[in-house]
Amino acid sequence: MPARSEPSVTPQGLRQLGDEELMQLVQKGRAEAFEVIYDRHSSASFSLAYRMCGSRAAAEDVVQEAFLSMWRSGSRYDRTRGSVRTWALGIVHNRAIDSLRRSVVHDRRRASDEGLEERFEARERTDVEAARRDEAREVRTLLDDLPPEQCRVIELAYFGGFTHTEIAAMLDTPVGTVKGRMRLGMEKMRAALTRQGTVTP
Amino acid sequence: MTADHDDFVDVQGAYLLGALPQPEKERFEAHLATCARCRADVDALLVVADALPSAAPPVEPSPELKDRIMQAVRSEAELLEAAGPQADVVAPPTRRRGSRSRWLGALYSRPALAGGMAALALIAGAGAGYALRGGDQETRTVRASVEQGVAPGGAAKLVVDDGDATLRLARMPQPTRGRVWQVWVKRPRRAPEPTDALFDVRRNGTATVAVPGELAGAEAVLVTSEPRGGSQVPTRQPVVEVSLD
Repeated sequence: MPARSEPSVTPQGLRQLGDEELMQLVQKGRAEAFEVIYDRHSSASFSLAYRMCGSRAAAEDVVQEAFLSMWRSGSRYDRTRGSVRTWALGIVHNRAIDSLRRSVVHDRRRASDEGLEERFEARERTDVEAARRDEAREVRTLLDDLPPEQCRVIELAYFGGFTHTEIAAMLDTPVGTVKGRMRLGMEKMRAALTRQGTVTP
Repeated sequence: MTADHDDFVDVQGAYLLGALPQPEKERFEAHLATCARCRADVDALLVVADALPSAAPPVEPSPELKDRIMQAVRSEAELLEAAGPQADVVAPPTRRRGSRSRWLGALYSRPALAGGMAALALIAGAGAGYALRGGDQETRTVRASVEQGVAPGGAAKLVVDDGDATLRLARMPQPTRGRVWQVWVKRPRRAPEPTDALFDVRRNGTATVAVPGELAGAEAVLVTSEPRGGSQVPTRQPVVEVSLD
């Protein structure tokens, strides 16, 4: 049935819908539904892209590419594979890695922290955002609680977009050791996350 | 295949972090497809990969970013609607087989496939336009990506109806003086083939162009700006790109 002849959902009504229901409308080409998806997930997406790219301009390009690809590929979203948020952040992460690896100079300082003072922080406007901040703090704490060499390789890989061979060269450590640290570190985080029930699917 | 499994255990973390170089990633993915233990391990570690983004310090995007994205989205939505009822009908997401575990999802969203992601996105766009129009006859609408730097707000789609392909464009600028828009057909591992579809844009910024020739086996339809009379080899970057499956 053409989207036009469906009973129209008011913008307010759209905001009451869950992500999965919104994605069904997005698959029918409904721009207003996509706008709600954007509003819900753009901050987390931008934060991730910014952490990885280190500049607002590069992060905006990544987020723009990612969201346009989500809009065009809405039919690829499959709820059995995870939440819309996970899907969105996965696409943002891929795009950011593409962008990092594309840049001629793979700037090593980029990932070697932190320059956080330059970043203007998000305002806590809603309880949801406050809850997200708490979650961010918890995950951050988990990372910081890892043995430093494990935390470092995970950050360089996930946020820095470096491959294990690049990390091995940077740290002057055998590749096998780098891989082992990644897995051990993730294993520890997994145990802690499942214990704490921090994971909100 | 136990020996195999042991060889791969240490790769699991690197894989989920997106840290495997391409060849190694491909090897691991091939292994994943055959090793239930690795799939279970990767599945279990996914919670970590999923939690990591939230460790990024919160930063707000500018309102202009939303404006840019939503402008492109709205103009594509308008075009889709203008394509008529068929284009609004959406095929269900293509599912490969009955149940699928999260690792496959991970596989799709991991950088292993990053190179193919752009193509995937557009092919998926294609999927969104599939519609059955009675019998076996199929009309397919494929949304195109339009270079927004050249054509701000521009949008395009390819309508394939029983083998006839028509490109419809909106908010396209006129080609610059002495030039014309030219349609190309790109096949895998080949340079784009020129077509004799050369066109200008109507005063209202729209254009409707029949794409000549056979599209079976083509991977993309492109539009570039070329000197009047057209070219044999593209002289500019594509402004419109329609990725086909």
